[in-house]
Amino acid sequence: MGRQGNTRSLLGCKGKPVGIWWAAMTLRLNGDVRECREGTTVAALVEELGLGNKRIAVEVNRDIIPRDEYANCGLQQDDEVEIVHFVGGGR
Amino acid sequence: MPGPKDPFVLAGKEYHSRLIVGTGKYKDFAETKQAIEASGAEIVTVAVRRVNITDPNQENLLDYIDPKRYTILPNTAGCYNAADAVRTCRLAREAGVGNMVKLEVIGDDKTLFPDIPGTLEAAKTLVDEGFIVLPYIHDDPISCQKLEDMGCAAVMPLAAPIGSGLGIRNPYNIRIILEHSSVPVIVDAGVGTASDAAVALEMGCDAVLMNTAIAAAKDPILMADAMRQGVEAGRKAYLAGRMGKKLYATASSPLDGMIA
Repeated sequence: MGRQGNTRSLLGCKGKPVGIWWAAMTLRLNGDVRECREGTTVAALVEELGLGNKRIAVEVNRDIIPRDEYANCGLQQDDEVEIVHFVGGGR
Repeated sequence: MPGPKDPFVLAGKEYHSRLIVGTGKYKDFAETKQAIEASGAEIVTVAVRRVNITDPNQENLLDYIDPKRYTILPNTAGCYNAADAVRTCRLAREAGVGNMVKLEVIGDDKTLFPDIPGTLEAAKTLVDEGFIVLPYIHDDPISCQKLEDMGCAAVMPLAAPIGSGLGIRNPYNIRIILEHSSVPVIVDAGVGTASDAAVALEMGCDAVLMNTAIAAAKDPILMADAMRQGVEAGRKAYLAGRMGKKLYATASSPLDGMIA
């Protein structure tokens, strides 16, 4: 069910190049298309966005990814990623 | 530190303040922070939204509202069905501000009235998942009873439509809800000014939740202070027990010793 403990596709994890060439893939991030390296992890994506130390929550294809799973969660082509945070709002 | 003399107890935790405030519609985060401080609120509700990916380093609300100082109450504002509301609550919990949520499942965007079946459905799921659920609901005693029976930690009937500032439109229903509830009753939505807040507390409501009444005032900081005082005055009047209403006058000066 969930993606907890998902260890697939760890290539390119933490932004390290895999060999000489990077294969690119596209994600849908917060509703917009975004290109990134194949095998990027949630941890790498969050770092790249400068959100590493922010109070956020991440969903991949509607599954919530716990923070301690970010590094193990490899992303794949066409994954739908949502990253949310708290904003001003009342009722 | 001694606890509050007349604590507002919500989900087992004691609060001094009976005013819960929203964080929307302010000019900027600095004003939000000042208004919250002036209101004396200890519980602050926030919305859950996508991070702006094109500018992820823009300022964050929680840089201004310290979650160590305030109880952060994520809300499901903008959710029109139970599934979206539940999803929002799960994300909020994952973001790490605890498991108390303000549930709202909206029925339509003109009235922003709650969708009762959707609210009940989401409340059931969330209670089962261990959330502390504070549902926004109509001033309807039956819905409130169902939510309480389901295990919600409070019920939050509306005074009037969200953002309308009309005050308590149906005090009789609120009275019935108060009579039947054994969880806190928090009036949520529709308060317009300090006297509206006072009325809610005078009636015996445990707390009041508002946003627009403060944020849309000409001077939000001053209104936040007024709301704090209105809530305190209302609570004291409730505890003091008001005099009975009479149709005719009753002199308050003695009749003995009149010169004529």
